[in-house]
Amino acid sequence: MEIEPTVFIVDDDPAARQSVSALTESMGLLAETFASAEKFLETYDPGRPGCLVTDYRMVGMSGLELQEALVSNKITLPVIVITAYADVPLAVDAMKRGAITLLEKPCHENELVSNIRRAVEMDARNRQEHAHVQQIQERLATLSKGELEVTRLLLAGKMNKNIARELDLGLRTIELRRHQIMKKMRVDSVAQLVKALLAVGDIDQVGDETD
Amino acid sequence: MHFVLLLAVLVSFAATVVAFLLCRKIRDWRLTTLTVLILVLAFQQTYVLLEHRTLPGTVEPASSSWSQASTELVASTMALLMVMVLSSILREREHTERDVRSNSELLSQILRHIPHSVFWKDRNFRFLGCNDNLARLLGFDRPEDLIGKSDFELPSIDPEHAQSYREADREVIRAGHSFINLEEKISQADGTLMDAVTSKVPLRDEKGTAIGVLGIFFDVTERKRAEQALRESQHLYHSLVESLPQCIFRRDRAGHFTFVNQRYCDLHLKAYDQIVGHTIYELYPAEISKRILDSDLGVFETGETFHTVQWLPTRSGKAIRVQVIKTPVRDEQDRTVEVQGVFWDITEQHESEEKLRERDETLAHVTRLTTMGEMVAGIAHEINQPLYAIANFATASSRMLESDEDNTQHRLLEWNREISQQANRAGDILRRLAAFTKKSPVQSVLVDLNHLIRESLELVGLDARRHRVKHQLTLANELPRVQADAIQIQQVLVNLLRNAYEATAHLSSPPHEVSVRSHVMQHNVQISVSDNGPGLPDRDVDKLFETFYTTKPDGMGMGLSIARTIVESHGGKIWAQPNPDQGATFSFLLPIDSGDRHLGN
Repeated sequence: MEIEPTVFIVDDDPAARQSVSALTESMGLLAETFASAEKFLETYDPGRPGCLVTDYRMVGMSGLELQEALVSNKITLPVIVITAYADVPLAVDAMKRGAITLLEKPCHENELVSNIRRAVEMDARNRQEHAHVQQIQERLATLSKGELEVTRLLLAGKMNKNIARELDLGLRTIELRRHQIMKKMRVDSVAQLVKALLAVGDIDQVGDETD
Repeated sequence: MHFVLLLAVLVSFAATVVAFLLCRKIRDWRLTTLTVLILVLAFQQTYVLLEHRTLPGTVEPASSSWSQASTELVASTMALLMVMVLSSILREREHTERDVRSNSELLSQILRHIPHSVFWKDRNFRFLGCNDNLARLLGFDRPEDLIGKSDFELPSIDPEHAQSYREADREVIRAGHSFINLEEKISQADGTLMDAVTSKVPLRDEKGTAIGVLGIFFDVTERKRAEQALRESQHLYHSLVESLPQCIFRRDRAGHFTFVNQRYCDLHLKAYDQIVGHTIYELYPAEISKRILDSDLGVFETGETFHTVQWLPTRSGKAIRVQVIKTPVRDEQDRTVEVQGVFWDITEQHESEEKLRERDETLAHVTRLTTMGEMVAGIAHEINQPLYAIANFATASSRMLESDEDNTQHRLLEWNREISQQANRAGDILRRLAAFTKKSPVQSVLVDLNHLIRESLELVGLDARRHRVKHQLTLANELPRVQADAIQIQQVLVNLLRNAYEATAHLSSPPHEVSVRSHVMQHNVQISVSDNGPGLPDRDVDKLFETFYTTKPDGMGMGLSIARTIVESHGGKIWAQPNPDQGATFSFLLPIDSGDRHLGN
C-alpha cells in the first residue's frame, strides 16, 4: 500500500546526475534523474513521496524557478538545492522558497546523504501529517451543524450543562450530540478530540466550508 | 703647167687666209707669227709667179718653171698643214674650255649645297670669297658682300673670337701649317653661338708660297649638345647610383660582378676593383654564395624580376636583413646576360616589426588573462562539476563497501570508472585554462578548428549556463586543418562566444540561442558565431573592431580589436553583420594552407 520514496534528481550535468543517483542507491533509495527542471515538472506526480535534489544553475529553468513552480503547484516535496557557489542572498532566496537546505559543490562526505535522508523522512512525516489532517477533516465534514456548534463549545472547554444553557437546548440533546461527535470523530475523550482538531486548526473554516 | 702653178698659188693663198683667221681665234702669238711667216712666204711665191706671168716674151726655161711649181706646191702644202694644225689646236682648246667651265660649275654647286661653311682669305686676312652657307650664317645676302672684309669687320663676330680666328689664320699663312678639326665658337647673325669644327689650310701660289688661307667648318652644336646631354645623363645616373642608400650590383651568369656601386663596396669593406671582376664566392661563405647564385639563376631562367627578403652576413660579423629586387639585364637579342640587383637593409624595420608582433602577443596575452579573470567564477563552477560528481561517487562507494550487501562489485567498479573520468574532466579543464592563459610565443601548427570550437565551448561552459544559452553547433564534417596558433584562435572564439552570450542577456525571456558554424569557403575556413540578441548598432559597425571601442558599460574595448589583430596576423579577416531576423553574426575566415591540405576528423 505504502509508496516507496524516490529521490528526484534534477541536474543538466549527466555526471552530476549519475553521481547523486549512485549515492541514493548506496542509501537503498530509488532515484529518478532529469536533465532539466522542465522535464521534472512535466512528469512528476505529486502523490509520489521522496525528495528533490536540484542544481541551482542550469540551462533553462533554474533551481529557484523550479522551487517557485513547486510552490505555485502546491507540491510540498522537500527540496535540496546544490550550487557551485553559495552566498547569503542565494541561501536566503532558496530557504524562502522552502528549500530544506542549500549545499555547495562538492559536498562533504555524507552531507548530501544525511540531507537526503532528512528530506525523505520529512516528506514521509509531512505526508503522514497531511494524511492525518485530511482524515480528521473528512470526519469533521460528516458532523451536522448542531454537532459542530457543540464541538466548538467543547473545544472552548465548556461543560455539557453550560453548553445546553448557552444553546438553549436540553441537556439530553447535548449529550446525544456529544455522543454522535465522539463516534463520528472516532475519539474516546474530549481530550482526544481537542488533540485531533488542533492539527486541523480553525474548525470554523471547516464548518463554513461544509456548509 | 701654168694651171698647176695657179692652183697651188690659189690653195696656198686660201689656206693662209684660213690659217690667219684661225690664229685670230686662237690668239696665240707664236702660232700667229708662224702663220704670218707662212702667209708672207705664200704671198712671196704668188708674187713671183705673177711677176713672171706679167713679163711677156720671157721665155722661161722648163726647169725653172718646174722649180717654181714645186716651190709653190711646198708653200701651199705648208699652208694646208698649218690650217690642219691650227684647227686641231682650236678644237682641243674649245674642249678644254668646256671642261673647265663644267668643273667650275660643279665646284660652285658643291660649295652652294654642302652643309659646311667654306671661305678663303688673302694674306691680309680679308675674305676673298665664301659659300652661301657662310654668308647666310654671318647675316649677308650674298657671298660677294663678304669679299674684302676681315673678321673684325663682321657685325656678328665678337672681337675675342675674331682675334682667335686671326691667330689661327696667321699661323696657317706664316708657317704654312694646316689645322684640321679645330674646335671653335662662332657667333651667328641670329645671336646664337655655334659650336664649329674648322679645318684651315694654306692657299699657295705656283712657287708654293702661302698666299692665303682656305677654311671650312661645320656646325657641331647639336652634336655637342647631345654629347653634353649624354654626359649630364651619365653624371646623373652615376650620382644617383652612388648616392642611393641601396646597394646595387650586376653579375653575369658565372657569378662575376660586372658592376657595384659605392654603397655595395662600403658594405663589404672592399674597393671597387676588389669586387668587380671577382666572383661572389670571394665575398660570402660558399653556402650563402651558392644560395644567392641559385636565386640569380632563377632570374636568368625565367627572365623575370623577383623580390626576396634574406639574411646577409657582413664583414662586421653582424647579419643584416635585406630586401632584394633582382631584375634581368638583356642584350639586343633580348637574352638575359646579367642580373642586376638592388638591396637595402631592413634590419631595423624587421626588428621593429618583431617588436610590434611581440607587443601584439603581449596584449593578446593580457587580454586573455583579463578574460580569464572575468570567467573565474564560471571556471570554478566548471571544476566543481566533476569534483562534485567525484565526491558523490566516492561517498556512494564507501557506503556500499560499509554495507553488508552482496553483488556490489560491478557497481563499485562502475563508480570508480566514473571517478577517474571525472578527475580527468577536471584535469582537462585545468589544462585548457593553463593553455589559454599561457604566454607562449606564437606557434603555427595545423589546427582542427572543429576541435578548437568544442574546446572553447568547454572553456566558456559556465558563461553559457549563466546566460542559459542553448548552443546549436553546425560543424562541417571534413574541415581542412588550418595553419594557426591554436591558443590565439581559441581566444578569438572565446571572445566571440562570450560576446554572443552577453548579447542574449538583453533578451527578456528565453530561449537564448547561440549557434556556431564552421564551413569551407573557397580556400578558407569560415567560422561564424550567431546570437539572437538585440543585434548590431545601426552605424559604426566597423568601429566594433577598433581598440577601446565598446558598447558594454564595463567593457574595455579590447576583445574584438585583439580578435582582429589575431585573425589578420593569420592572413584572415573578421567581420560582423546583422541577422535577417534577430541578433548578429560575427564571422572570421582563416586561409587553408593551399599546398598542404589535411583533413580533420
